Amino acid sequence: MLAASVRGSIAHPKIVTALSLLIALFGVNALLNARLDVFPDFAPPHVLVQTEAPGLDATQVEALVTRPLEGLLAGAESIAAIRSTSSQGLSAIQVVFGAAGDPYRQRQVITERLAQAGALLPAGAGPPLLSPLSSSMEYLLHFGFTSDRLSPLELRDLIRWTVKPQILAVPGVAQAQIFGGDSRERQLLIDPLRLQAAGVTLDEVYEAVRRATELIGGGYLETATQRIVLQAQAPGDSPQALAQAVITAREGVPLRLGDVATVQDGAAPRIGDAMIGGRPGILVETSTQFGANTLEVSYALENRLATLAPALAERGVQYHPALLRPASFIESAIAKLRNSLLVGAVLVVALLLVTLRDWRGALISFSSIPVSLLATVWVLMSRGISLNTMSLGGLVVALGVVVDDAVIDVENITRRRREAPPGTDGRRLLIDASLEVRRPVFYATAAVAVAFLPIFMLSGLQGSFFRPLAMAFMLAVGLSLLVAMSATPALCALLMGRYVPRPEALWLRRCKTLQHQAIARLHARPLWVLVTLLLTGAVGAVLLPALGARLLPDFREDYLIAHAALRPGIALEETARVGRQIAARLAAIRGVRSVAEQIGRAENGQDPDAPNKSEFEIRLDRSQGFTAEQLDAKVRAVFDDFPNQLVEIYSVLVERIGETLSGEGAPFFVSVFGPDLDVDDRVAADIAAVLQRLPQTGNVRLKTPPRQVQLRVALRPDRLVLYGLDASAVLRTVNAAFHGASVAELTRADRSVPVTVHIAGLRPTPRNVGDLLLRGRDGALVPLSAVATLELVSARSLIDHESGLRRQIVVVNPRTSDQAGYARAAREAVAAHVQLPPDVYLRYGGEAPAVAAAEKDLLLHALAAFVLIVLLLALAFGRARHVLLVLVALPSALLGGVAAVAVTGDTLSLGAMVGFIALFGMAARNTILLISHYDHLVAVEGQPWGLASAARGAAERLTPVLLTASLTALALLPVAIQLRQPGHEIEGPMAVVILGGLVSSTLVTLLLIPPLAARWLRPGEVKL
Amino acid sequence: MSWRRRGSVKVPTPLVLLLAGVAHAHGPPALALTDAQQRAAGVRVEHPVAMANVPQVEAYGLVLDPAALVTDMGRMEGTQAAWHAAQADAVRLAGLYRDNLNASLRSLQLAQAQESETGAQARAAAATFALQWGPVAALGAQKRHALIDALSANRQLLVRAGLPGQHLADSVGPRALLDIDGVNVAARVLGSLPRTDPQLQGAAWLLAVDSAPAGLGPGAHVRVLLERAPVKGLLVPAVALLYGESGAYVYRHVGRNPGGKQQYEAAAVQLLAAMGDGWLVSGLNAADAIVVQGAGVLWSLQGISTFSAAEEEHD
Repeated sequence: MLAASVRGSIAHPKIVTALSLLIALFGVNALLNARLDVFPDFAPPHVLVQTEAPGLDATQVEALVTRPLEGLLAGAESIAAIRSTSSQGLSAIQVVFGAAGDPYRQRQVITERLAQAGALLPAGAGPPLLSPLSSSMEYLLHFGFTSDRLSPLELRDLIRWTVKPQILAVPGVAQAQIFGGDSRERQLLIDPLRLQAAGVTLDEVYEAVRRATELIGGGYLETATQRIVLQAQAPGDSPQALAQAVITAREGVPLRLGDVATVQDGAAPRIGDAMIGGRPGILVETSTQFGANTLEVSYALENRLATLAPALAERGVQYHPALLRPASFIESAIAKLRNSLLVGAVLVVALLLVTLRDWRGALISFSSIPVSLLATVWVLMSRGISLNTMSLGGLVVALGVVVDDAVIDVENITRRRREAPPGTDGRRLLIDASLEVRRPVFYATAAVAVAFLPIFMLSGLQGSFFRPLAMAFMLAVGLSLLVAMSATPALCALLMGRYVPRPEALWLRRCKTLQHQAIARLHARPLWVLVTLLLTGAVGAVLLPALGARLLPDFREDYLIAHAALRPGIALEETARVGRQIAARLAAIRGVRSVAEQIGRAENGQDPDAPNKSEFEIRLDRSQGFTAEQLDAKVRAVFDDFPNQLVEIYSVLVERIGETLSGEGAPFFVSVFGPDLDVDDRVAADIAAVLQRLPQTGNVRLKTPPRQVQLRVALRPDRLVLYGLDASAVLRTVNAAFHGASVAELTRADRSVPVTVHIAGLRPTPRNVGDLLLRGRDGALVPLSAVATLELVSARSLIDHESGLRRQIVVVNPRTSDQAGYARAAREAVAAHVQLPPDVYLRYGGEAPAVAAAEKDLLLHALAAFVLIVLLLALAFGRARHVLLVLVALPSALLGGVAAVAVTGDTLSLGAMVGFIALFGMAARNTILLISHYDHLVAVEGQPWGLASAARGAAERLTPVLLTASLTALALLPVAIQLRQPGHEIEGPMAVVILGGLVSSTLVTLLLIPPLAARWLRPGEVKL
Repeated sequence: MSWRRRGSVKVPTPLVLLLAGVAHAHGPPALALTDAQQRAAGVRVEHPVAMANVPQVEAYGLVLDPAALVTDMGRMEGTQAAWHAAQADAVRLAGLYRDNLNASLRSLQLAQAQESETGAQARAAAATFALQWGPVAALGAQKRHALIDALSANRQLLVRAGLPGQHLADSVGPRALLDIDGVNVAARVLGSLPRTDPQLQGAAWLLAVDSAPAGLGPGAHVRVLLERAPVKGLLVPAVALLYGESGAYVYRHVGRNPGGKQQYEAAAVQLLAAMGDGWLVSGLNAADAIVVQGAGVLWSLQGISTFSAAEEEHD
């Protein structure tokens, strides 16, 4: 088949070339319209179920809301995990779906289950709200608004009802959460004196409000010629109208709402807030729909906002764009990678011209590279795979093989031409030269592809993350092989038919002379050569784990996210005050462009945070000349001055990846599961103390925060009976007094406003709560303190569940890049020093266990791949010595990669691991080609086997091996040099490993293998 | 309102949360800040100001109908007069009977029965009047009639001010304020009323309003501010106060530790009376420097650096 393809291409070079051009054009089109993203959708889809339960504390929310809903959701198909938090007034359940199913169907199942929730939830709890499906990155664009002219109420109204609908109308936007400002509600501030004087109850007021705001359709009039609709208006549409609504009549005199209450528009109790540059404002956080293109949606949303900005400015509203913009990283990464590849391409062309000394050869070699890569992009796009850091990484890693494919044919044809006697059949020479290398290249490519199978087979989230890389690599390598078997021979036939090449470059001839001398000397010391090979391989294998391992590198983005938490139970205003201080300090840093802060949570938002938690979104400005590390250090230094804050600072990508991979942002954590929260706390405390003693432990904290002070209102049944009160009426009054009872909803054309009843005149201190007056039997007033015991207690502020089980989490940010090593040490220390009670068990999570799982997967699959490669080599060569020689040569190639990683001070990220696999494939390829060339020399050219033949074969392979290594090195050099630059975080380590490995593998192939082969190899029949 | 302290922690197992440079494995939470941290967090200390205050308590007022007072007083005086007449008649008949002057035993016994009956009626009316109008009942007849005259002429109003649900109310001062549509009107406290209002279920006082605004008449409900006994204490702003299981406390600056950090400790206070945006408290000295801005920072620092996992009740 290979021969048929090569012959066909040479027979019809114009058609093949035209087809290749067409495919390249498709590729260009696909590239221009490519869906660009930061990462592939590496995480399975998930939704958040939020249920508001005003007035309930965490334990009540857990028992009355979270548990029933978890019970409802448990057992639904395709659910991978259910995690929940129960906090004051809110139940938040995260449902993570299995990656295999249709996310929309999975969400539909959840919707159907939640439809039954109504009967399970307590009175006063809102309906469970389901978040939209969003992508793994989730973040789309965060922007803000401030105003000196509008009040917080007016500003939020404007954004909520005018701007938000336009944001959500942008295709691809799943959600827009609004932080800050004041939410409007129509308030009835009940005067207890007037209520008492009027002799009406709160329930009568509630009912009057409902009647006054109820809108009932009027129907229509049908005349003989017309149908006229009766447009009914709700009577209580304005505060004045609502105040006129009648509660009841006393002796013929109507008693109105305005007689017992002041009706006004006011602000609802805040559940969150926002600061833009230290000023109060509105922060809007948008998220993408599942599968949406981040760049496209970002541009569309920015365009929409840009058109709105002038109108908003006229109303005195300032627009603060790009407070958090993941698209910037995509743009930066893609631009830098593109520039690096362009520089690499120029260098490749230059080297081809210098080495081949001919424009034809350079053109043919070079053209096959973009054709292969463009064809890969086309196939990827048609398969719905986005161009992202990982798939681009696959293309970068594939460069070595693609370049080799491009060079090897041309170089072999050129060499044969040079050596061919006059009158040689040019067409025959072309076919022979192509087929000579193509057969071994086919097996070598297959070996490389098999080497990548372990990555392709990675399971779980790591698999979703790295599979696009492996897929892009394998596709590029496969298509490169196709191009090498079709377009390259066709172009050679077109351009090199009668071409007589110039003599080989002088420097290559000198290299061959030096190589010959070296092989001759090494041939005399075969044992030394063997020991060197084995020793370098062993050293590489031993040093490899010592580099330390981590799943992902530090991404150098233009944004940092700082999660800060004060003590649970702190007032929102105090969080905001401290936030203003921090924001002012951060904004003063040269190199910080903007600071936005979200406090608490948004309505039905993705983060069910309490008012003690805030998130700072810090936009960095690298044009000030500071590195990412310097700016990171400056930001951390600011937070060091606020020791009361629990602070975790991440780049956006690391934060999202950590959150999505394990539900936890930290690199290492231990989940403590057990039915008794206090026992869980004690075990977690012991674990925290043990981990704290480990030398590389950085910050340790418990995720579930400490207890917070609560004022317990314990009703006394005997006193309730005495005063003729029923418990629910008392609780409703308490709710109205200290939260506001939502009793109706005023709906207008484009907005709805809740109508709430409050009790006025209460001083909000614990001491005054008991003064709340209740209306007892016969209208007698009873203070709350007469019927309830009030005590300040410490109580849970948050209860965390996973799969319905209570858990406490010990979160660690180790001060080491060797996360896997730290995780091992931590597990051993915990196992040695912490005794677990009977009902408690632990689960380790975070990046390190993920790396360990990935390593285990990789190891298992790598073993399988190794066996496959051995079988493949056996099939190719049919001789055990050949196979053994290839295998002996491989490990020593690792040493260069290990040395390169060590020199750059990097660790073994999965990107670097992928680089090693690619390196392994390239080294195998070089050795396979060399050995197959020996077979060719002996079997086809009839050379007697010995040192001379081995040296000749090596010399003839020197040019393509050196050329491939040099070209690959030049192509990857810009990427490797910019290792620390944004956008090169994944590809940079790969490039470093390949560059280092190319040095060792080239030396091994060209200098160490030939003397060994001369001694022990028995070349003969050409099987390849 | 009853304030109960929760039982103290049985086994103080400090749960160490070492964060952001705060590392205290054992012992009490270190509420210490460097000067830079103090500046950054905006922690500010001031001395509490010694002040005296006349705290006010809000009561529910009802403008009373003077006709009821006149009726009750008339009934009391009428029964008194009837009793006095019956007493005189009984004395007269007793003398006649003793002298055998045309008075039968039967007529004497009837007169004595009449005296007993009217006496009982007079005492009942007096008791009722005293219960209903205690402070008025305590007035001399002349003053009482002068009051009636003033009430009848609309020169004065009587207001009943009740504290809902508070049976054991402290004494109140001689002055009070009526909130009439946002306008404060002065009133005199005539005295406490012995009878509990069944609607308010609490102690009540009778007030006299000498300059009642026009339009305020019997039956009107008004908000009344009664004066409590003067309270002396140290004024601390509300933002300085924190509440824990043991009650209210503030953070007090206690100088620098050996490491040069500013140290703070929690100081329990008793809340005496609200005053503006602050509270008069006891438990502090005027020389104490208390945290008036950034108390939440210290509270948060205390909370996140350590907490006890051992609690009385298991959740």
